[in-house]
Amino acid sequence: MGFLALLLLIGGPIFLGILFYNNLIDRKNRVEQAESDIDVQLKKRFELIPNLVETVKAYMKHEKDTLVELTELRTRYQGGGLSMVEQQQIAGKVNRMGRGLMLQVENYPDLKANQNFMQLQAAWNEVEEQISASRRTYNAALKDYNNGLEQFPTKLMARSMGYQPKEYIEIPEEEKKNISAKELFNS
Amino acid sequence: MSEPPPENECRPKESFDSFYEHELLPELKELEVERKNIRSTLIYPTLGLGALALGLIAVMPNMGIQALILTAITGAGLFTWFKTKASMEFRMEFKNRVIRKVVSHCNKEYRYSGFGSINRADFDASGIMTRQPDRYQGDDLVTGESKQSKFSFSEVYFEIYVKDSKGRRRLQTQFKGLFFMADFNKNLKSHTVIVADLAERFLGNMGQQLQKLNFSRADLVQLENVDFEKLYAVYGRDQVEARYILSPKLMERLVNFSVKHELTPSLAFRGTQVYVAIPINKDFFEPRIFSTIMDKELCQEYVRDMELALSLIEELELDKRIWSKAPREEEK
Repeated sequence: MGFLALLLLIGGPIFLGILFYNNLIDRKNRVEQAESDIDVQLKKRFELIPNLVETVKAYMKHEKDTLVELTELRTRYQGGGLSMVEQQQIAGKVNRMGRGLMLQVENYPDLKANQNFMQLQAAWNEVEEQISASRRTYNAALKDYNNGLEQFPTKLMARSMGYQPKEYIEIPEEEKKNISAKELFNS
Repeated sequence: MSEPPPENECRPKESFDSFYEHELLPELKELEVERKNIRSTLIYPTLGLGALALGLIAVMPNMGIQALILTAITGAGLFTWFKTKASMEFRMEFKNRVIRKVVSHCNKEYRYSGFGSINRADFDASGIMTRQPDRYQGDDLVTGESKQSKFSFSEVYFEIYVKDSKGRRRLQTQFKGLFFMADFNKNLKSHTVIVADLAERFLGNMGQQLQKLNFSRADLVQLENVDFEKLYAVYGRDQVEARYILSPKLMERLVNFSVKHELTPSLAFRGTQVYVAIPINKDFFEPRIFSTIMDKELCQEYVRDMELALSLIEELELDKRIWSKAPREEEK
């Protein structure tokens, strides 16, 4: 009996310690996983840019500056070495410019009917929603992680492990509203 | 300027009166004669059963309450058997002549099978229920396609054997209602299930912690829409895909659907399909036996049931094809 009590007294805290430690690592890994998912989706969108530029440049002569800037942003992103905040800034800019271009298509009926462009537009919409889903996943994982950093007793362990709270990604208002087919195709 | 009616709604209400008068009423008049015959046929076995019960009580005045209950249950069972047997042909005719017209009233291209149902394999594939049924039945299968999406729905009963406190096996209904399936408009790789969230509704945050311990489901996906979270629990292996499916707008639509109809459907997304199970405790598209079927309100209810199922196409935006999943025409 005495031995069992001693075992529980020593083993209990060790077991709980391992549990909390693993739980914190799991939370941190989920944030990192979500971060890399965003990166994958952003890269997917950047990969669409050369094809998009190639398809629309013949039609949208007045949008030349936008197309050049989109290409530059892609090069900047792919150059790497950017912080999460910088990545999101570039992504936000590309998002706005892409949406602007899609809306401009209304003025170019030939382009609007172009099969290649239609496929690109669908791919662009899909990747935008995937980016939005990845960001929401990141924020959900981050909420869990930050809670671990503030709640007792994981708070004590997280401090000794050197974990720091992280900033949430701000979801742009237009993503909260979601893509509207009407807006995009004006049908 | 008035707004045009939604694509998937049955024809405008004003036309219902004319549809009822010219198309349904002639059929209903003929069927009403048959219904009255069935009702008369059922009266004799009912009276016989009543007389038998009274006779039993007279012969054995001291029989206990258990014997009385047993007699009542046997009587009810026999009555149901008589009723089902006598009305089977009538039901078949009613469905073929009346419900088929109601379905066509919604859309001439839709197909109806009174005794067909969603396949059990499709129901199982949805993963909405966590176990296999011991008895699976269904009827009133409607199939069709809207602009971009093939769909089908039917009434479904899903029953399992359970043991009562005395160890006796009896069938228990786990799901009874409308089961809808259709082509979904986004490419999916994983499996996401959305079920009514009873734990969180009654236990709040503690309920959410309990949901995480639901080992019969995949991982819990916690979403940011508070109203949605109160109504539903989402499980999936792919957190990003679950959020890709459940866009903020879709969550809002599902909340509105639940509030408007006071129903909490379960949904599943797998492969190319979306599955929706709406628990409703009533029999769809069934004729009455003991009161008249020449009732406009009754027929309007059939149309409303159709509209409820068809409204899912709109709510789930199945016709919206702005993503890279090709429309069916292009898939061919």
